[in-house]
Amino acid sequence: MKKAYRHGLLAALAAGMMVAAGCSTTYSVDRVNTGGEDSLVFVRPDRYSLLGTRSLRDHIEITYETLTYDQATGYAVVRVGVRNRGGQHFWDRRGRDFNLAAQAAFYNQPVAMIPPQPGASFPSDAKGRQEGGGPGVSTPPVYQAARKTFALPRGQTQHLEFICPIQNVSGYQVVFSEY
Amino acid sequence: MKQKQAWQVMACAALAAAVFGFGCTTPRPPRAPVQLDINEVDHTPFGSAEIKQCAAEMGPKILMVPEIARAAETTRIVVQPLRNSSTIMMDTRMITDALKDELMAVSNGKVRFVTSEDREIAQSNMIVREKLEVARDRMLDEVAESILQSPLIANAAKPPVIAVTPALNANFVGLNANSFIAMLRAKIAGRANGKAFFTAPGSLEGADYYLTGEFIAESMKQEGMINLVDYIYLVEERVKAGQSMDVYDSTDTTVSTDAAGTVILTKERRQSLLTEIERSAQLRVEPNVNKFLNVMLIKADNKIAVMEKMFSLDAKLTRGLDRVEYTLTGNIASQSRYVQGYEEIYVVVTFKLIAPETKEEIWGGRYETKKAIQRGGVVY
Repeated sequence: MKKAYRHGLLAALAAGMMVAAGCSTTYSVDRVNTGGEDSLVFVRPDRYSLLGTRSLRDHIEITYETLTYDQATGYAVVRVGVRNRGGQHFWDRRGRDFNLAAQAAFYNQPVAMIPPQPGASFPSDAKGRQEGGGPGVSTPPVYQAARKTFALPRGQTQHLEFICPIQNVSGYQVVFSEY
Repeated sequence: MKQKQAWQVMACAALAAAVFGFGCTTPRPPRAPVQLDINEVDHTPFGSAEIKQCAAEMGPKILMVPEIARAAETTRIVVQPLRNSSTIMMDTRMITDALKDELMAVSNGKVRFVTSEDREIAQSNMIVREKLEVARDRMLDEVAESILQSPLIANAAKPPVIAVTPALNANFVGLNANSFIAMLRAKIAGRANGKAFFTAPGSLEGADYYLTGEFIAESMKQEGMINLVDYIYLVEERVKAGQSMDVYDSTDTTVSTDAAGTVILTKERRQSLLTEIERSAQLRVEPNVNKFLNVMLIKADNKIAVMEKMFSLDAKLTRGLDRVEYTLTGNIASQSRYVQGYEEIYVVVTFKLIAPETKEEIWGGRYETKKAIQRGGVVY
């Protein structure tokens, strides 16, 4: 009887806590640590298949990525080659055409690990990705270009160019997504 | 049987209640509006996403044009609306305005736009006029003060007597010539405190100095006449003196006289001359030129101007195009193909920067897009 009484008390307490939690006015939001993020990122896929995902990384690859500075103005110019390599798995050898959106944001501090030097371009690694481990994005961008939309049929390469009309930027991040 | 009837009555009552109930239903409120992403590509041929992309791509490229990038000073551009040779019904100012916004936001003062909107120019000119009027009043104060502070007046053994005489070239349209001199007289008199005296208006008796002025216009055009009475007197005097009726004619050619030797300037001719002057476009349109008043203090005995001070009465109102370095213009064109309820449309927006002096296109830019959009209903 005493045990049953105790159980009832605990249940009532738990229920009270749940109710109290439900009555809370504000809640903390999740914050992400972007440290180590690349200068080129694909966002999470919006569709999942039975085998694997239909992630952009399964079909899209970066052929080059350069950051240069215009000599006359000092503006940062990011050029990226995006290629649709088609399907790379036995269950999907064909791949598909994509409608992609790319948006570049420029920062006063580097996003990837190696800060670019003015007037120099730094090539991508063999996999077309910048070396990770950089500070990531921790400040608001000094300039964000408009979202660039384009079609990328299988086997085609799109040459993208983003110009930051503000001087002295040293970091950037281009986000690719489907639309 | 009775039971069946009762059932029918009840069914009818229920139906009536249901109908009545529906009639009392409060209509549903409309759905809450949904905010859409302006960067999202939609079924508009050239929608918000394309406009933003176009502006974001072209803006930095314009700033990187060598003539603008290397310019030491701010580059001023006037926008001429894009020509719309496409099948899209749209206000092309949406494109140029977005581009202007982009450039204004990121150029950091390197690029400025000169408006070409008549409404905005008229409003700006109205403000300029009001500022000039205030400045004119202030300037009269300054002139009055400088006259009183001049050694001639300040160091005079006895207070000089000043007579006001009509201003020369008092023939500007829209300006009451003598009122400026009268206002100046009032300003001086108000500050004189016994340092100077004025004669009665129209009297030159006992004057040591004449206060007068000369109106000057920055114009190569012949001035209009406003003082019609003076003009007629002048014409009559010229005619009586045997000169032509044209006051600008200095050839002094004689005019014909009648048998008694009287100059032929009949009442009708005088009236027609008056009408001719009144109807003259030159008289009715205020000349849009810089206008100045040169105030002079003239010694009465030897007619020497002992003091002069020029101030601006009116400034030429311009459209501000004199400082424009480039014209930004372009075209929007499209090509469509209709396939099973879809329109495949290819849109090209071209921009060019033109140097007005040389007519050279110093830069050309191009934004193009192609998309399939679903067409509902009738496709035109």
